Amino acid sequence: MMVESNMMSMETPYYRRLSDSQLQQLHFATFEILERTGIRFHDEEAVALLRKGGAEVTDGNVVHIPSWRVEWALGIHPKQIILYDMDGNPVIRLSGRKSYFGNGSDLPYIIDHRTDERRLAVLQDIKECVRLLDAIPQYDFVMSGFIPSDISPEKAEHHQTMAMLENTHKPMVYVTTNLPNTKDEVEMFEIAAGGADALRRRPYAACYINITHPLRHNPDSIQKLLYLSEKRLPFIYRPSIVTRGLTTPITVAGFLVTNNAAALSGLVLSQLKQEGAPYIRCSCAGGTFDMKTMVGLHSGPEVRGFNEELAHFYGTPCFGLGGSTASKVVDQQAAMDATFNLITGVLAGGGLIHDIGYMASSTLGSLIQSAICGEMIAWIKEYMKGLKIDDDTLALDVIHEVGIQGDFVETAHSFKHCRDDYYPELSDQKLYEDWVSVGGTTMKDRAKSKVEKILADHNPPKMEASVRKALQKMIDKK
Amino acid sequence: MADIYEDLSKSVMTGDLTGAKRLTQEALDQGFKAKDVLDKGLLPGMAVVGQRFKTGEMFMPEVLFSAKTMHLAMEILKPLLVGSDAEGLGVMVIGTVEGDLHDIGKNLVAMMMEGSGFTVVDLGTNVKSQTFVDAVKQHKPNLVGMSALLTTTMPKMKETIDALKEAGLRNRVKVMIGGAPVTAEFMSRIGADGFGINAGAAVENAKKLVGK
Repeated sequence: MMVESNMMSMETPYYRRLSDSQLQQLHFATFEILERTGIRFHDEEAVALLRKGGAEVTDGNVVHIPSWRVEWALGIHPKQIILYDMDGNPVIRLSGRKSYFGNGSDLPYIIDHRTDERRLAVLQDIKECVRLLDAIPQYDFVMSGFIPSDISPEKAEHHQTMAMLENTHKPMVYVTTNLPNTKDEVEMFEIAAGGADALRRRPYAACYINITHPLRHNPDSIQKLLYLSEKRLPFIYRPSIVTRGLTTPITVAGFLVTNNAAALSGLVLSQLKQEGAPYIRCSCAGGTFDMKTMVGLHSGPEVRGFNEELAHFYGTPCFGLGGSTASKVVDQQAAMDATFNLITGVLAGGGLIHDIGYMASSTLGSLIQSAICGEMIAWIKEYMKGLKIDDDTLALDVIHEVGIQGDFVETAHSFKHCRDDYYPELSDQKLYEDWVSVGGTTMKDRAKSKVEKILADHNPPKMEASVRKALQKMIDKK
Repeated sequence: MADIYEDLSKSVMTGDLTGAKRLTQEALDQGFKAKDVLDKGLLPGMAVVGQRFKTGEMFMPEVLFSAKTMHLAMEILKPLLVGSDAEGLGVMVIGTVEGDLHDIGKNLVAMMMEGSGFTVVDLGTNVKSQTFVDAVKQHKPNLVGMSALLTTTMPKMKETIDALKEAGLRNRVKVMIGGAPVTAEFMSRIGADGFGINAGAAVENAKKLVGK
């Protein structure tokens, strides 16, 4: 056995796009925004808490948070948030540069995989989407996928939650419009968990809160943050619906610091409300806002990796984005866009990487695209492995035995290791003639077959009758 | 076509703030009529801008700068324009409906409408139906624009239209709606007259609705 001191190995690829000094620069610039410009909080309780926490308040509700209070919040907020599955297993340990994969919540349109037709999504599509992702091991968490156009807006969220609870036991991220709905969703999760304490001890759902503008936080979002902080249930606080160039300066550095100021102000508020509140930082957003078409994009290269670096600088668990495209069809652009932002998201350590499979700039989804993205995740996971160097893998004795005359392929060594490599499920690697003989299919064809098979065969975990009854009561109440 | 009209158009197209002000004043000093300066010099420039934005040749911040030149030039011309000419192509009352604080889209539409020659009264966000009604009584617009980003605040659009009907004002205005969840189907369902899928389309449709 080899004995050697000072031996270090790289377990995974090393990636950074910002230096420590640059992060310091962004950090102090953020403090300047917080202290000098301030942030408007449209909520009295929030202003009172922040004022009591040392912030100066101008113009009624513009809060200027001092840097020492931010440092305090950064010190005490949880650096690891564990999300469980509904069976109580700790499956997501959100910390550091780990990556987990999930879809998004509210696409209005779907490309029906049966007809290739783009149409408004319905509740059945949500159920199928969640069930599909339940079956694909590359997906670690789920979101509701689509907006059910066949359900009235007031009831939509309850039906989305029910569809998730019925079709998977994987952890979930959910979105709500206002505080009353948030409370209802939490109640539904508590019912399925077996009580409020059970949900708090082993949370399987995180709420994704979107605020309207980084420098002016709207009442609904603030109230949700305060409510969930007090309940000590995990949530993500997103400082604005993308729009670098509209709600922040157009330059990436200007965007990063504005976004950071908003994120840190939310963090401070959550910790003031409840020390140790499970705050998840949104480390996505900031994609190009196309100034020709006025469409928010996720697929561009400019901002990838920077937001995530800031999250890691603070040690805050994060919520990233990847696997999305501006394409309107499942074509080469869709594959290219999704690959670029998925791989950069993983290298940057995106945390809960969501919106995988999103198309047409967050307006369209396709179960076929979701299946193809599952393949991308599998490839990336293989890539993220390190190199194993030991006697067996160096194989020096094998090399000497085979020598200059022999073939490695017939050795016991190859027999042992021939299945170590990555053999993709959906990508086809056959010779041309063989490929023709089995149908000459495209990636899209094969992904479609996979979707059809899963939808035909896969049964999600069963829901207890008493739980179903109690949940249905909540839906009917609405 | 006098050179000055061409120069005025060009200053609008290039978003030349100082140039537009200077040329507008020069034109007046040289005896050109305020209405002609607007109709033959400035507005044609803005029409080109609208076209170039549609084809992707011009970017939004550039369009907004062009709109700014119009605004500055109008400040000089307004006192000299008589009666309805001062309103330009018309008056628009615009706002984000009650319960909704989203304003980016609304602000873009307001800026582009102004740049296109409309007078815009921006009521801001979280605007109650009654406030819309009062604004229509006060400003006598030909257009009312309502914006909403949330599916939950969309019903307020219908509420405002009904309030306008009750006040006997519905027939005096064209109502346009906009916002991410808004669709043509929703527009017909609540009895609005038009909608814009984005700010550029909103302006085009607005002009069509008022017959310009």
